[in-house]
Amino acid sequence: MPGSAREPLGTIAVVGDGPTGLVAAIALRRALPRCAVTVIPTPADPAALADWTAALTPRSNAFLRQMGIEEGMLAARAGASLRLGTELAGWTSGQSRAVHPFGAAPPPEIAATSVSAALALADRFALPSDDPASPLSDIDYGLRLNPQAYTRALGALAAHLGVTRSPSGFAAATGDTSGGIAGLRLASGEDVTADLFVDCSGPASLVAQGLPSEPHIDWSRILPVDRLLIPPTTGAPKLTALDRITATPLGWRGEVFGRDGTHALFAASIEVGSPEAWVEAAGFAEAAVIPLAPGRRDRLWQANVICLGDAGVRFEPLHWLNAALVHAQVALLIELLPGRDLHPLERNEFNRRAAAMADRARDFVALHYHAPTRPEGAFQDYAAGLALPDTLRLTIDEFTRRGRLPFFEEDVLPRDAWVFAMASLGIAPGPTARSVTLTPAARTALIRGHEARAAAAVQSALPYRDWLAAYLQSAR
Amino acid sequence: MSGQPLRTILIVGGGTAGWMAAAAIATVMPNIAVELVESDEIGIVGVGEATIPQINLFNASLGISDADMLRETQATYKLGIEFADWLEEGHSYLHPFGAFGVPINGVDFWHFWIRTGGRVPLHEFNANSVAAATGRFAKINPPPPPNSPLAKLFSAFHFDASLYARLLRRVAEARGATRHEGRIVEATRDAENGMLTGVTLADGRVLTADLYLDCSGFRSLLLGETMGVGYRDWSRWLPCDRALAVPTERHEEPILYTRATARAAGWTWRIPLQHRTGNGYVYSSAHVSDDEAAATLLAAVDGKPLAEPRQLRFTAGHREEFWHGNVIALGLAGGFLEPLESTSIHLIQLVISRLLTLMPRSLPATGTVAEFNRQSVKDYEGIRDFLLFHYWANRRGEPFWRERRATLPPDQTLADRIALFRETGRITRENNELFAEASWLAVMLGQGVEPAAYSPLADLVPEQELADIMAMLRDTTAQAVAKLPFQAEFIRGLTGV
Ligand SMILES: Cc1cc2nc3c(=O)[nH]c(=O)nc-3n(C[C@H](O)[C@H](O)[C@H](O)COP(=O)(O)OP(=O)(O)OC[C@H]3O[C@@H](n4cnc5c(N)ncnc54)[C@H](O)[C@@H]3O)c2cc1C
Repeated sequence: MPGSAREPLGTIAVVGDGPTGLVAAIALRRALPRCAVTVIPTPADPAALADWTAALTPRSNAFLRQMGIEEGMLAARAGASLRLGTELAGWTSGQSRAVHPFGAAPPPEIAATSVSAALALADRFALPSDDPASPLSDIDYGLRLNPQAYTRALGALAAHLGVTRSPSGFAAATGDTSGGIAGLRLASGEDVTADLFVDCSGPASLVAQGLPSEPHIDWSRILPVDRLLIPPTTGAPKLTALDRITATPLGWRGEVFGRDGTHALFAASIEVGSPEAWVEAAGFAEAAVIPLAPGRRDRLWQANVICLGDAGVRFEPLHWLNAALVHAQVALLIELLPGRDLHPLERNEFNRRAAAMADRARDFVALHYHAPTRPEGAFQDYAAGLALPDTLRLTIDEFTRRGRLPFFEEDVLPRDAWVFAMASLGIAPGPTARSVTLTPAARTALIRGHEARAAAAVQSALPYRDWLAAYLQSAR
Repeated sequence: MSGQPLRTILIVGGGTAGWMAAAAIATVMPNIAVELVESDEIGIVGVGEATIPQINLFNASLGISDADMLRETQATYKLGIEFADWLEEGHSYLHPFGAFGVPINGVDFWHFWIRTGGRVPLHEFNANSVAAATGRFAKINPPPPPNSPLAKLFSAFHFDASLYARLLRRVAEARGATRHEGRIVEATRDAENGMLTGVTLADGRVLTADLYLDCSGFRSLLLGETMGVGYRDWSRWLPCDRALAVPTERHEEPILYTRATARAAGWTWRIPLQHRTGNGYVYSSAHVSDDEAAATLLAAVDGKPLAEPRQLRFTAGHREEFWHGNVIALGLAGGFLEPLESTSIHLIQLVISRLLTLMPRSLPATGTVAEFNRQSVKDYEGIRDFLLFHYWANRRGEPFWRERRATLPPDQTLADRIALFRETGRITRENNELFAEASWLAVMLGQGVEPAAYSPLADLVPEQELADIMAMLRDTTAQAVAKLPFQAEFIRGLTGV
């Protein structure tokens, strides 16, 4: 066997010092302890949604742990609290309310409240159990963070691991003759070269700008939101396990109930309403209007530049999936980590799989505009008239016809999340082979068993407020 | 929804495909009436004796135990396939089921193995290979803990195809399937919508149903002949078009693997059963005469022939659609890929489970049919690429084999896969491809494709630590297998004879 060591990456420049850049730098440094990883600051951009959305999904828990970004540290230093899911208000009619929880969905044959949702509705909390017999094995949680504190905490951890932070910010990227980037110019006038450049600079995609231009894939005919209103974080903390997304006739309002106050935003379309009308619908006193151009780069890794976060994929933060997508793509990058010789086929493989992740997240968001009944509203009408991607059409079709969810490679959402999304939008599963043959008695027994499981979980859990207090106590 | 609800299914053909479908549908969908028609006069192909581990799922879903298989189909266990003389004369390797080693720090084991220069043969880290080499095997009950090397011991069966069909028939009939004996002389279609309206038997009986499963073998009586669905011919890539099959007397304890030996114009199989050995020569008629092929086969067998060699003719490829109107093809009626990796019976199983998940409530079901056909074509293409790879990477001298070296599939996927492995040691697997990374690894290494590098992350484990881990993996595998009984003892224990 002639297998020889590949010369490992010697230097990596990560451009962008928000959470996206810092998480990527930490992950790369951990994977390649001998590689010099430098983070180059860029101006903070409020349009970099993957950096500023304050909530994560359960999928990130294991990822952060693997990266050595401990939950206790995040609780102590990044304002972390735990959430069981999201309430969807007004998505199927003006008054509708539905819970979209994390964790395991009940058996598909019965329409029942999941254990996570039961806990959330009782305003209680417990950590998931590893014991499949325990009803608490059905629950899962996501993190909420204070973005500024989270950025500081990640910065400190990166420094501790030996990631260098350039004192001078990014100024320009220079292309080379082979379609890649030759180097970066810093504000100080200094030049930086690297084996690999990771562009985490937000939608400006400052490094990728230096590449030969590439077609972008436009999602504006699929996803309605192209304007975001982001007010300052406000109010007293509201301690609850559920965050909220409310549909209004002019767009949707997202609220993450952090320990530091409510992180709100309002998502709208330029086709419906005006900035004044949006502010009023959102109920904000004041807010900056930020443009969003939904879509993604065709190839997220081009030559020696990898685009993560909004530099690569931009989409409305419904369910706050933006950072979750970054984490999945960073994990993929680590799995396919190249040597100094960036191999085109490894790059293709990354691009194929990273694109599949992005497209599936897009489908999940788009699903929310295709509920069988929708509230009255110009925004809803506009969104419902947009295109349905084939992959999403197949998903809805299979689900409504035979209660089945087709498999998609690299789905960033677990199957249960799709089941919950369908349920919260009033999309009913079609009959399955099992549901057709289920006798009424067996169905009743299934429902009873499930209800008992949920009740036992609620019994054993603490009120959310008390649980959080104890958790924070132990994190300190 | 338009159309009549689906209440009755007629299965045409009583070979492996027909009875697998009858037994599965009768078990899972008791409210659908299943009828099957077969002709004793025509008979079944009767070859198709080697399987892959997924057969266990199928048997389990029908409640067929290992003891049933061993007692009623003369089955033996299969842990992999030996490829003899494929790379070149005198060379041999095993493609075992199951993984090699365990990932270390999330990095696939083989990267570390490449790093150590492959000093210890890779198969020593694979429980199937060790068991196959020593002849030891048992299915442990309750299943061993996930960290035991035996948790990755995966087996399939060799069995007598006619006896398996008989076993399935008993299961299907016990669950309400009805069998008709008779030869179909005509099948009729609706002049307006093109749907199949019924089949007429030689004695004048007419059988009708809402949905028809064409399991009529190579003839493809309903889908090909009656519905007129064309055939995608792949013989340009897989030119073997004939086989000679001959059973021989058993002369040793059955070994735990199928053997596929390369020959001048194709390859021969050897499948050990309890009561006999199955043999055959799959060859290209453009490269060797039938007489020469028969001589090669008879010279190769290691026991007394129990019958004259029987010839079978086929064309690699598949029907352009597997489902057209109210007709779905299973088994040889849908297509043929040579049995080099024992995939045909698995393809039947895939179609059955796809049908059970996609079963429409009524017909027509255009969207379902399109999805069904798309997935089915993918299955065929994935297997075709894997087979082609075995042929492409050879160093043999005969004209047949030299031509194979110049033949890659029509699209780029396989070429990229080979290049990526060669240059980086990485193996990709798209979607739910049938053959997982470990299978590609075994065959790529076996066919002499060597990786020039490995994942840079594999360098992070210190040398001594890696040596310790590898020694531990190898020793625990060898020790665990050494405690197993020989296959014959295990079979006796289960069957009581
Ligand atoms: C040489 C060779 C080796 C193989 N080895 C393997 C292997 O190792 N592993 C593997 O998985 N697969 C193997 N296969 C494939 C495997 O044999 C088939 O997939 C399997 O046997 C299924 O066959 P079948 O049921 O589709 O067709 P058949 O067994 O041919 O059955 C056809 C049925 O249709 C009936 N029929 C046909 N016409 C009429 C009519 N007019 N009226 C009434 N009834 C009719 C027949 O009576 C019969 O019952 C091999 C195939 C070949 C050719």
